Amino acid sequence: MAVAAHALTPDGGCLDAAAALLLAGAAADLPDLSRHLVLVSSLPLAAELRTALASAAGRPLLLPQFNTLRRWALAANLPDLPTPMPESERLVLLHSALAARGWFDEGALWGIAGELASLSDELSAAAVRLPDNEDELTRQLEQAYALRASEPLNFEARVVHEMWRALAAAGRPDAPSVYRLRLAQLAEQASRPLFVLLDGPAEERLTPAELAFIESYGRTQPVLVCAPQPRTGADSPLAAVLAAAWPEQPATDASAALMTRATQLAAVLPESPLAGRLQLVPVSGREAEAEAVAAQVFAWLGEGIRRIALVAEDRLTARRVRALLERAGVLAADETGWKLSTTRAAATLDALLETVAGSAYHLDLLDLFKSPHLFADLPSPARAGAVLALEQAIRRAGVKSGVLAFRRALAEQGAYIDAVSLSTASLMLDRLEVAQRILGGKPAPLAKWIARLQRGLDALGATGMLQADAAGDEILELLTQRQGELAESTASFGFAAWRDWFNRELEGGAFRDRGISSSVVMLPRHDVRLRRFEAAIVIGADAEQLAPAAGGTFFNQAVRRDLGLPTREDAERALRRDLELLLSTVPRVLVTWQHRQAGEARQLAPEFDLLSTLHALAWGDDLVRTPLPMAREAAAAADSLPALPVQARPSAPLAQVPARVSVSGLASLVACPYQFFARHVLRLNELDEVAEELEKSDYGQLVHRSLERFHAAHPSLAGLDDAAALAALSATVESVFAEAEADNWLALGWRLRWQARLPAYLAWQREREEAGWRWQAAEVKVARSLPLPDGATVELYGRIDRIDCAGPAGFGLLDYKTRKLTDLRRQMADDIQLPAYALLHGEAAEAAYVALDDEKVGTVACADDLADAGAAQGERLQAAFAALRNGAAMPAHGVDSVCRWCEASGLCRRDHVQSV
Amino acid sequence: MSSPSEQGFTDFNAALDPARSAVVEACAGSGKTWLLASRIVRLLLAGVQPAEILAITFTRKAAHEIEERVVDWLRELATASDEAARHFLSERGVASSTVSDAATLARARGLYERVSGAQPGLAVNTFHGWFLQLVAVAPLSANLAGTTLADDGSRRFEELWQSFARRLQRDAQGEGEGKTVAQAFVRLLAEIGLASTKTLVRRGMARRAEWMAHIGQNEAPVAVTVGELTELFGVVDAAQALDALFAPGWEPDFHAYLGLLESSELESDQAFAAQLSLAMGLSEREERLKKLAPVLLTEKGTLRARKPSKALDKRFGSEGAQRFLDLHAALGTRVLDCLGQLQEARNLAFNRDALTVHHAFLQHLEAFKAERRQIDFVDAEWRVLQLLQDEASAAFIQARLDARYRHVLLDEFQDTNPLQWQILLAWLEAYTDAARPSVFLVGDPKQSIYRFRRAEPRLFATAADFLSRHFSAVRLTQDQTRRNAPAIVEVVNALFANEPAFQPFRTQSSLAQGLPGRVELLPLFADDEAAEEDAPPPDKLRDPLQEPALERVEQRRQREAEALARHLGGMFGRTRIRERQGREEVERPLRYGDVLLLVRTRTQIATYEQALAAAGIPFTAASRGGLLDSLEVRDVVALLTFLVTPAADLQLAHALKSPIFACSDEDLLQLAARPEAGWHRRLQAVAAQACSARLHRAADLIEAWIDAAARLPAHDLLDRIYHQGEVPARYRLAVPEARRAAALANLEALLLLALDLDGGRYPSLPRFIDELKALRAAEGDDAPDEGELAADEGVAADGRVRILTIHGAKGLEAPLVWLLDANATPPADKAWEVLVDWPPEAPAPRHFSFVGRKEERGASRSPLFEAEAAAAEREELNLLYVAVTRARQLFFASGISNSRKGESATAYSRLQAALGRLGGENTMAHGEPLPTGEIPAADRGDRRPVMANLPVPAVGERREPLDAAARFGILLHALLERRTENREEDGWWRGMGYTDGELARVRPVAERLLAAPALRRFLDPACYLRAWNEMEITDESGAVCRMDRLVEDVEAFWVLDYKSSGSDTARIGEYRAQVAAYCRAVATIFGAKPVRGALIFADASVVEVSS
Ligand code: SF4
Repeated sequence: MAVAAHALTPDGGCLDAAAALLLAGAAADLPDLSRHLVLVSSLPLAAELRTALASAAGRPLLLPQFNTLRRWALAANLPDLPTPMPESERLVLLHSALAARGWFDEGALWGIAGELASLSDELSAAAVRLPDNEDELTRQLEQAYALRASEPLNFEARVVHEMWRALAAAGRPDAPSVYRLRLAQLAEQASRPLFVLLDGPAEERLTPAELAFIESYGRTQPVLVCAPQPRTGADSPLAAVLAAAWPEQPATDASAALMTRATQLAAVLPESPLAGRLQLVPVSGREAEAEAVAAQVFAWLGEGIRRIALVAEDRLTARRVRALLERAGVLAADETGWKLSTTRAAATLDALLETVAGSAYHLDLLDLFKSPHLFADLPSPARAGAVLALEQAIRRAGVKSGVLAFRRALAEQGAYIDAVSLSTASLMLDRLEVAQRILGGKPAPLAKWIARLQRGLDALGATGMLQADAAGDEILELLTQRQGELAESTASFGFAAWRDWFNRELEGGAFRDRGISSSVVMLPRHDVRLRRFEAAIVIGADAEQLAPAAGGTFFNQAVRRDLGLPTREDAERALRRDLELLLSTVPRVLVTWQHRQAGEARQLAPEFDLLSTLHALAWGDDLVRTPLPMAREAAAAADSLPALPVQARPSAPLAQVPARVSVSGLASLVACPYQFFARHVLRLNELDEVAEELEKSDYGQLVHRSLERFHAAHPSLAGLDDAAALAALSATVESVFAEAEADNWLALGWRLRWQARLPAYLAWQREREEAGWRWQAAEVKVARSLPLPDGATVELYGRIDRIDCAGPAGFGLLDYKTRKLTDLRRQMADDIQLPAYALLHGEAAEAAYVALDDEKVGTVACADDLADAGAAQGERLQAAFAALRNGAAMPAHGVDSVCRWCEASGLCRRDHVQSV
Repeated sequence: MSSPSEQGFTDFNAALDPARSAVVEACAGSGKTWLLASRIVRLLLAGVQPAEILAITFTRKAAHEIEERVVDWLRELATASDEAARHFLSERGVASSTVSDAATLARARGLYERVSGAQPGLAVNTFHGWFLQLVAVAPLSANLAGTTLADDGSRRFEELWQSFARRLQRDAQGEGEGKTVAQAFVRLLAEIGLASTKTLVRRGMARRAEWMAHIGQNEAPVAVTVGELTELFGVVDAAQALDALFAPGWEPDFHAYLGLLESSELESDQAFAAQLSLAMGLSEREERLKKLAPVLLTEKGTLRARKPSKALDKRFGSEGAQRFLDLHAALGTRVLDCLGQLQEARNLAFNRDALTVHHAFLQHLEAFKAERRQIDFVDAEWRVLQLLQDEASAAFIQARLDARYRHVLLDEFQDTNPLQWQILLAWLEAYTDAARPSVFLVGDPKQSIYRFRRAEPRLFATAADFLSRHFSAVRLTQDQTRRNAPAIVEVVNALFANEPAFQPFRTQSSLAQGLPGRVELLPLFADDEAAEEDAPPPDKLRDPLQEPALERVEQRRQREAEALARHLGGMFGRTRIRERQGREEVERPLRYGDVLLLVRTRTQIATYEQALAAAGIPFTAASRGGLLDSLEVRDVVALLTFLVTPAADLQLAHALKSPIFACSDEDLLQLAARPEAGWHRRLQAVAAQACSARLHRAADLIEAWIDAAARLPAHDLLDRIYHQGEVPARYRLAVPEARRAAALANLEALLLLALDLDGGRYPSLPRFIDELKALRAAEGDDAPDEGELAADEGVAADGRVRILTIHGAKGLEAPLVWLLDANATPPADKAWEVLVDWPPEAPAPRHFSFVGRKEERGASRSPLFEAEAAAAEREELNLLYVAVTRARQLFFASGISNSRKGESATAYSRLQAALGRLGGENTMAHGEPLPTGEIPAADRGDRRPVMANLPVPAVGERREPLDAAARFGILLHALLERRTENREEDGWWRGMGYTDGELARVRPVAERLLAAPALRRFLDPACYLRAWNEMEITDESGAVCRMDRLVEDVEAFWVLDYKSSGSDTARIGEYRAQVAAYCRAVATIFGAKPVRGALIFADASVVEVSS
């Protein structure tokens, strides 16, 4: 017995050739091949070989057993072999080992543990055994780094070595070693002829252990290993081209110059074997790339080509492609999958953890409650209503975080909320608190944390919906599995560390939507190997993304080479091997890359760049093509076509012209009628926002309130000396600001700002009293209804900050402004507020703004002929409303300074109205 | 591109010689990039490995350009004719003898492959990129493992600012360190207010690299720094300052002075006397000073003028007069000194508080990052410096890199900052003398415009000296530009030749001889007088329904913008410019793409954009971070917001009015009139009754999307909305031409943002919306940029007018450059700044302090302030230099008249002066107008070919998830298969996607079957010869079919099929048929033996099937 190796010509016929070989090898057993074992590099490939075999045989067969080497080896029943230590358990072990030594920050441990784990896998896979003592390793590193021993080097050696020993000490072999053991034993027990189909040279595609397996299997049973011939040495024209483009050994002497090779090729091959097989398509930007790919897929489908491979070097673009294809009803089967963390289900889980971590910050809580997975047991309308109610309550009350605060908010707003929503909302909060309690627990082993999470999800009635959601189910399963693996592990972790761990699991785990079966397949580069695709597209083939995989974070290439670990050269060779197979087995290949991204140049991957240059030299065509244009997006539905916007000037039906208008409403009408239309005819306003910090407007209100309270207590300063007055006012201010400061300490800044002004204010108040004015009332509601020509009336109303009285001299209307006197002066020209107040009050002798933001407090009084000014405003209001009731239009013609802050700018479409 | 050899570059050979280090100072347009790339080629040609080259430039863009150029050249070399290849080499200074030798040529041609195959490959880096590389290979002991790069944008600052405040609030209650900080913070709030305090802290954070460098390893950095300042300010506190003035025995002079005043009969003097004696009577010294100062000093705080005069002599007698004047002067100075000292004392106190808070905040920041394992660029810089300054770790890092740098090339060196220079020094230090690299440094101090990024132009000289001393580098200068037309260069020389702040300046010359060029100033735009004197107040109030308010806005800039659009409009398609094509120059009419509009800052851009849009001139917006403010994006965001917050009526209405639904105000009025609570309900209600097609469509789509919004990740939802909502198509119709392309690009950008945000992690829609809100609120750096205009949108052929800041235009050139708002006065230096003095040669800053209001700066730091001011002025000149030198043929400048007269020089005034010096008859222009000639306007049709909408066959299908029964069956098979082969690797069912629960339900059934006597013959190895599970066969047709189990016993083959149902199933018929078919197939294979079939049911009953 021995191992027979057979090289296949790398082309579309590869599989048929393999099938033929298989039949020939098993000729004696035909038609019963059941005792034969066929191992191939991937399951999909197995399926294709099976079909190839069937048709090659041309008669009924009892088929051999197909599998991949790894699956077969792991499935085989070898009871006396140990089971490997699960990845998760090993991570915990490393984590604790690192933590025990206190070398690194807590936060870094999972990451480093992960790196060490994969390093140790690499070592076992390459059957590398580190020297037994640390100094040995240190010396080895010195050698490879060409660096004298030093603290950093010793430390790297120590970390690697100690951890390596820690793992060994655990007494359970890791997966690679177990795999090796199994292979060894299976080779011992070899009882059936073996046929192996590889997708590349054995020494490249197989690990040492696997090579050994085949070797010794061959001692007792016939083994036939066949693999496509590498480009060099293959006698197909295409292989010749690839070999010329990617010589295995870099060209040295002049005769081997690219140009020479090209001319030689052209001499023997007048027709390029790549012509029509390969196109290189540069695009500018991600969307352009996605469109180019989709367009090509559509074109191929149009030509009746069905089996299309989409090689996703750029995941994000691939995701765009998938979306564009789905739009046109083309579903792609996904063999790569997405990170679990990018699924909606993961978002729900993270929202829960974030809510717990941030002690129910309002945004997180709402994010969580709006998840489709929660509260499956509550009727969904009630659920929606409750969330809505809760959000409104939170916004109105402006509470930032804490279930308690939210309860209070609900209670306050109770009046506006229907009973069902109210009860449902508080029920939800109850259940959140339960979840919080469960997840807020003390440090615990990971298995316990997982249990907590599960209980937390139950409490929120999320488990069911998550199970119903494909990705959610995947995640829950993952957790159960880890729970099993880690049942024994006792190392305990705090919330943060556990959350890191969980995030890493979600980052590491892939979600594959197995629900789609399609002949258009999205898959990683190396899975295209040998499969029968009619066409393939490599998405994102720029030098950065289509690059050999980089080795782990430990050591540099020199050291890795020295240790016998795979290096970047190996990765590079593998990459070229993949592309070589892709190009020789798939008759149509399109390669796209973004040659400009955000204005920056990006190179095509060298492999294709070389190919293109060679091809240009040989056949005067660099294979670069312009992208297929995407069919313009579907034309808009005819019955509701938008048109170029023009200045908006709606008019309101009589019934919808408001009967009352506030002074600010009037101001809005004067500033921009359309704004008035939005606010007071459509009655559309912004929702309240929860503010992180006290804002200028809030400051103004607090200032008003402090003055209102102070004067309510001290209508006149007469009784108080300066110190007493200041003390009293200051005390008032502090009590007024207290709540804001408790909520956010920065409010202190505002308070101090106001307190700095107090002496100035009191001084001004004294002057005013000396001038005979007496504080009379604050926050006075006033209203007045004005007759309209059509017999109706319009009521103008407002609230006056403060009214003083100077006996017979009459009344003074004051409006506090936390602004500078000069600013106010500048705006008096088209001031509306003061005259309007005068109009509303009726018997005011004076109306003025009090400027509270200067060294000195001062006032700006409105026009001396106050009454006339008021009357004028009244007339304007009447005229305007008369017009509105007659269907006058409310044009959108605010000035920039108004528009800048206008919430209705989306309604009037100002920015898109053609400026002429 | 033409080469310096044609340019008669002063001995550029030395610059390219791989063996030598070189420092090149090269003016704008002289081909710095060419030189750098050429040196790289020369290095490679000399056998240097790509990985031995460390090339660093300033921006990623530039880095990629250089890489691209080198690769392109190498490709050219590999493919060109021998003659061309030789020319290429000798152009780059390869000795002609060498060029002619075949081996060299072969090597040169081989470079392309050597470089593209190389591992690690040729990489041109930015400083940041390089630092991150070094961080990645830092020793484990540096505790940098697993850190991720975080941008230190305004959002992070806001978050920190809030948490810092919370911490201070706690500490204020407590004791010790924290309390001190809290108190300092409160003092700042009281002294300078919340806003300024925040500004201080933010600016302090921005300069933390210098701060860290300044304090080094110091234990008590604040105390030490305050100490330095105390020294510098020469005062401890107010008391000390007053002591100086009111030292024991201070009275006599004042008494004497008082006496003299009293003896004067002038009323003013009498008043002063009264005030003085009153003041001197005061015991509280500060009060006293306050009162007596006005006696000697004016309001402005200067010494009152007292001059010798007859009158004075008459008053005091001649020596009395003299004495009086002396006293006045002496006392005045003493008072002034004291006031100055008091100011310094205040500044010291202010700095004590500011530095305390500043330092505490930085510690807060460090904790924040440590917790998240984050580092930012500043840390990277800083950590790298520390690592390299430690011998052991420096050596380790150099060894640990896969690359072994033997040649260092530094581009744009004038933009380097002192910290980076220190890093470079440390890096060069780390080499053993044997392995010393060659260093090539190129730059142009005249183009240093990045002070705000701490760039230090003076470093150029320092580095040059260092390199010539330690690396015996040759120093070369290159003052010939191939870019600018002679006329432009003449203006440049006239501008700067005798500009004191711009020395040393070497006159430049143009190699583009004969290239017509022109520099032109537009007259400054002023307010028109009519509008100026406010029109008399109207007798009647404005009717808002009829006439809009008229904005009291900048009429001047409006005019400038209109003039701009008018001018350009007149030139496109007429003015003829020259364009290089290969080695030729051809004349062609001016296109939009040829125009570069430069502004100093982005603040005013909107006005110009509007003017261009109104004139129908396509442009690319220079605005940045405005994506989320653009109307089209706000439309979509409004829609999304409504989808997650159904109470958001305004957002719903907004979405309805957007092109997505194109509803009218009438539609909105109809909704507003409805009784239902909330607009969502109202929409549903009207859709149920009579309403416009638009509302119907909206209602339908929205219901569908609300449902999708809960389930889909943000990106997938957006994609669906764009598609079902026909979003792009509708915006094409609804956005005016000039803004259309931008609008579409923005919509696309939003989609990609959704895809990319946080790597698409945890993609819930509410979170996405919150993110967008936060991003929109964030200033500058964080806010997402507008979408890039697709190159192939409509106007492709003619391109677009580009509006850029001067900074943004660095490294660009254009046939026509227009400097806008050129008469703006340079920005005044801000209050609440950080003052750092880091001399280029010093290893660390010598001074670090905070600066308050301009008028309160005090005297002791004035040298530093003057230095700052000088540097600022120099940068203004550099900016002008950069602006002008962008222009190949035409340079225009326009601006608005300065309301504040007699201001400091502006770009405009400087240009005017320069044109004057050139002394043409016309002081507003220089050079010849370019030739013009009408040519048919290029058609602006959309050239983008549109693929016919050929029908795409539906491909792929969603499999219905298997029902419980089917899953049960499959799992039963799998279990039986394993039990009969007695192998059960643990967790195999999970691998198949089954839960433990499911397995638990299946297992008893399997056991029942295995135990059933009737089945023994099939399942017990003792009873049969051979058996296969999941046996596959092919029939004649070549179709593959799989049977659950095939058993061979002495007399027959048995084809077995498990059924999870009971034997009473209705489908028994089809089951039988199937098994029968299998039997036939098997029969054809094993002719000899009889083949029998059987169905095995979950209840262990067996139904034989005869074929
Ligand atoms: S944006 Fe301007 S024009 Fe539009 S409604 Fe508001 S104020 Fe009026």
